[in-house]
Parts: sequence; structure tokens; C-alpha cells
Amino acid sequence: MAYKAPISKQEKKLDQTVQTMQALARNEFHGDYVSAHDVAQARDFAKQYLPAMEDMLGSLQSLRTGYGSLEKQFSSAMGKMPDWSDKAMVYAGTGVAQVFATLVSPAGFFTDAVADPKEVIVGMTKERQEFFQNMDAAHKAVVGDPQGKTPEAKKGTMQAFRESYSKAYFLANEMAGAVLEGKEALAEKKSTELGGALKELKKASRELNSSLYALNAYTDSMKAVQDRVKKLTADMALAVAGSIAAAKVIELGAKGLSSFYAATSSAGRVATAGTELALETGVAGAETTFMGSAAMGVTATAKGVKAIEQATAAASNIEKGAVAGRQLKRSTEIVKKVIDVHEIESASHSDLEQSFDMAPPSF
Amino acid sequence: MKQHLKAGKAQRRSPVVTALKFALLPPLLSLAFAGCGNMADVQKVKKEENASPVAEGVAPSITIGKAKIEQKEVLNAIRDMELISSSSLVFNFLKSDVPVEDKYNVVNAFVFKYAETGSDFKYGTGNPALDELVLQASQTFSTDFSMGLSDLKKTEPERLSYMQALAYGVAKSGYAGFRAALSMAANMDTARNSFNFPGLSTRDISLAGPFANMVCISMVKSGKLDTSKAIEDIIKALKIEGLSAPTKSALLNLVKIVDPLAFAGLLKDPALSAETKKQVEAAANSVFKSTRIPQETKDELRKRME
Repeated sequence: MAYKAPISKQEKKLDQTVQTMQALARNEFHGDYVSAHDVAQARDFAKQYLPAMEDMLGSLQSLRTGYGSLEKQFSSAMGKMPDWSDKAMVYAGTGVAQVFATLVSPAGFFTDAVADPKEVIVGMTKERQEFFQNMDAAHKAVVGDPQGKTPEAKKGTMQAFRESYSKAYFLANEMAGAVLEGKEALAEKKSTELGGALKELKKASRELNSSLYALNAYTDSMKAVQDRVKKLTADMALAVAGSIAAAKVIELGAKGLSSFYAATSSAGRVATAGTELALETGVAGAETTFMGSAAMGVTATAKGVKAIEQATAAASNIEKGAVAGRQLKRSTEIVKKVIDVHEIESASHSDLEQSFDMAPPSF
Repeated sequence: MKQHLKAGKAQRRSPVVTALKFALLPPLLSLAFAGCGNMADVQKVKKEENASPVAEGVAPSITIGKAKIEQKEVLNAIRDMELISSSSLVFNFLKSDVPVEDKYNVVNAFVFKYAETGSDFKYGTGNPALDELVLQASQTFSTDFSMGLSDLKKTEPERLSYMQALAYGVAKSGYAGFRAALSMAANMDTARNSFNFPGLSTRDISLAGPFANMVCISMVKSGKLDTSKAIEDIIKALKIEGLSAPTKSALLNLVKIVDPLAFAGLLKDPALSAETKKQVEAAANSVFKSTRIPQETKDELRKRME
């Protein structure tokens, strides 16, 4: 089960304060003859600063839930890691193919049209080893490697991300606490530190995303490998049991080997196959393209990163709320305007002009 | 409740709260606008012709862990190793901060060696070198909706030169390279949903758009693009159902590069929707404002559009 980040005291206090301010803004309290003046002043304050305080609370909450989402993605990625039996299955699949090739090779049924299975298998066995080595490397990049050459490699992207989050959330809480207590200098100091910490967090979340992407690519293609192995083994067993002519068996085996290779070569290579196919067949739909495959593969991870990115974006809205109050609303309106055809064209044309300046040389 | 009111009072009594809010602005704005700025301090691409695969003078190098990898080492790896073994070394070098000319040099060798012999099995384009370049470019540029080229030049110059090097390699791979770049641009919508981060993804067009532009510009400048075939393919892509307006505008940019006169025909194409035609019209009008397109081409287009 994924680790769930706890809620801090400051966040709870800020939440209660925001609730109070909301109640004040709704005119729920009027005070008695002693406190009426103070309550009126508090109401004025609440009306003026409620959006900023809500934004601050929202950013703290998003930071925490965003962190939780990435922890969840991490747990999911770890859950997909193959155990010894999965690996054994792939190696066994290769072994079956090897035995098969050794048995039929002396029979001399090969023709020019069929590749020499021995050659294919020698390359394929090497591929399997590289596949698992690369998968292990991707796993170590996420969880850290005690034998790593650099401190970053030893730590791993997940640990680096956790540390960055702790730092950012801690500072955000300190800042919120200082705001609630009216300690201007401390809050200002913490806000400066928070700016740097959020930058680090953004970087760490992207690095974690990138390493989880690589790891998921391997574990996802692992499933494809297993499917291919099952199919390959079944095809061969069927062929042998049915006493089909040896040439036919070899042809079938070669087909299986080819698709087996395709599945295990790398997740990206399989996905790339769609790129050209899309235009070639005139069905360049979302599902058949490279980006379709790539995007689907990382959607889960991207969701976690998205939440973190939203949190950092929300944090940037704290001061916007204070400065203008309705900055976010205006941003939304601007985005709506961009839908206008001419604005899209203008932005796109600007891209083109820059491309002319920065295009690679002729050859 | 009293406590909460007390907290409210504490803030009310402190007029500095307003000032504090302003104090939060600089560090957080630096996050939000990290991508903006001038483009003065970035290296200029000067090398125009094919670079020799052999480096001259002091070899540029990158550091991975404690090991330093030199350009010569990368070139030797390309010479001696299979694509699957040399790939990570090559792309780590291309991602590093070495001069872009050295990256072109390595890409030249990469395309030269692996275009035919990269793998016994053909996927995607059928050209293993191109497949690898497209795969790497897709992962890096198709997913980035946060900045344009000028931002990239300012904040991540090494990533810009990486993009230039990959675009150079894709362009050198011939017509299949063009189609791969076109496909990346045409499929931008698929990535937008997964990689569009509110607050940070400020653009509707990913870097796949400018990447395709770069590939096209390099090919057209080199006279290596079959323009009529290219226009046919772009139009085919424009007719894909459900394409978003920003993606269409990225495709129309390719028309501007390949053959701006094709806009006249596009405006009369009955297979294009009214909305798309509005975009075509806007794109054609921007041709008249462009300083990159020769005056005679503009005059001819105006004539054909009348």
C-alpha cells in the first residue's frame, strides 16, 4: 500500500482559519456590544484576504495529495517488477527455442527464405540478458544503488523526491504558520526558501517521472514478452503434436521468434512501429501512433506528476491572489481567448519564425 | 472559535500582511516564468555542411559519473558496436553541453552507420537509425508543452542543440524522416491530455511542432524534399478527424515551409471543413507578413487566392 503523507498542524490550523474567514465573509458572526467592532474588522479582513488564504491552503493540500499520487505510482511500478519466476519464464522460452533449433537444424530443412534460427537465438539470448540488465538499471535509478558512483545514484530518484517534498512541505508549513502569527520577517524568509525548495521539488518530480517512465517501459514490455513466450511455446507444441512437415514448423518457429524479438527489443521500438504505419495506412488515429502508445504507457505516472505540478502552480497563485485577487480567473479568460483561430495562428507563426532561426544546417 | 478570531485579529493588527503577500511574489514568479527571457547568450549554429566524423583539435567530452566520454570514443563506439549497444552512449553525448557542431558530427556518423545495418529486424520506418532518432525525439519533445524555442534557447541551450542534432539526423534520413516528423506533429493531440500541466504547460503546441519545422526547413534548404509529395501528405494529415486547432496550425506551418503556394489549393479543397478553412485563411494571411518568404511567392499566392 502506498505511503500516505500526514497532514501538518499548520495545515489544520490554516484550514480552520479559512473556515472562520469563510463564515465571517458570509456574515455568520456579528459579535456582542463588546466585540462587534472587532468582528466587523475581522470581516473586512476576511473579505479582503480570503482568496489568498484559500489559495495558500489549496497549495498546501495539493502539495500533499500530489506527493501521495506519486508515492502511489511508485508503489504500482514496484508491484510490476518481475520476480524470479517471471524471469525464468522468459529464459525458458528462449531455451525452448534453442532446443527446437538444435533439434531441427541438422535436419537441413532450411531454405533461403527462413533465417537461421541459431543466429537469431544467439542474438536473442544476448538481448534477454541486456533486457534484464537494463531493467535492473532502471529499477536502481528509482530506488537507488548502494554501489552507485555518485550520491544521486546511491540515493535514487524516489528518495530524492521524498526529501525534496519534505523540505518544501515543511517550509510551506513554516511560512503558513508565520503568516497566521503575523510574523512578517519570518514569513518572508520562509517564502524565499520555499521558492528554491519548490524549484528543487519540480526538478525531483520530473526526474522521478523520467525514471519511472523508463522502468514502466521495461515492466510493461515484460508482460508482452510473457504473452509472446506463451504463444511461441503453444505454437511449437501444436506444430510438433500435429506432425506438421518440418519446413512448416521452422517457418512457424521463425515467425514466433520474430514477434518474440519484437516484443522484447524495447518498449519504445514496438511503439515506434505505429509512427510510420499511421500515415501509411491513412488511419493516423490516437491509438495506432507512437505517441498514443507512449502516452498510454505513462499516463498513470503523469497523473502523479501532474498533481505535483498543479501544486507548485497553485503555490505560485498564493501571491497572485494577494496582488490581484482574481489572477487565476483572468488567466482562465486568457486561455479561452487563445482558442480564437487568429491567436492560435499567431502563436504558431511565431514558432515558425523561431524555427527558421534555429533550424539545423542544410546538408 | 475565539481562537480563530484571535488569529484573524492578529493578522488584522499586522498591516504588514499585505506587504508579505508582495514579498512572496519574486521567488514564486521565478517558478512561473522560468521559461521567459532573451536569447542573446546562446551559441550560434555556424556549421553549414556535412561534418567530418573525425574530430579536430581537442575532442569535446561529457562526464558520466566519474568517467569522461570523448567525442572520439562515441565515434569509435558507432564504428565498432551494434546500434543497441552504442545508443545510450551516443544519446548521452547528444544531450550534453558540447557544441552543436560536434553533435552534428556524431549524428552524421550515426545515420551513416546504422541507416541500413542497425538491426536485422525492421520496425517503424524501416531505417533503424531513423527509428532510434524518432523514438528519442518523441520522448523528449512530443511531451513538452511548457516552452517554445526562444525559451529553450534561454533556459536549456543544451536541450535546444540536442533538438537541432536530432532534427538534423531525421532530415538526413530522407523522405521517411519527413514523414516521421510530420507524424509527430500530427499526433500532438494525443500527448496533450497526458502532458498538459495546468499552470506550467503554457502552450497548446508541444516542441514536436518546432521540431517538425526544423526537419522541414533543413530538408527544403538542402533541396532534398519532394515538395508535391510532402504537400499531399500534409493535407492527408490535416484531414484526420478530430484534430485540434493548434495541431492544425502546426501542420499549416509545414505548408508554409514546403510550398506556401499550396494554400490557394487548400482554400478550395471541398474535403476541408469550414473551421479548418478559417485556419488555412489565417495561415495564408500570415504568409504575407512573413519576412522569410520571398516577395514573388507572396505576389503569386495573392494572385492565386483572388
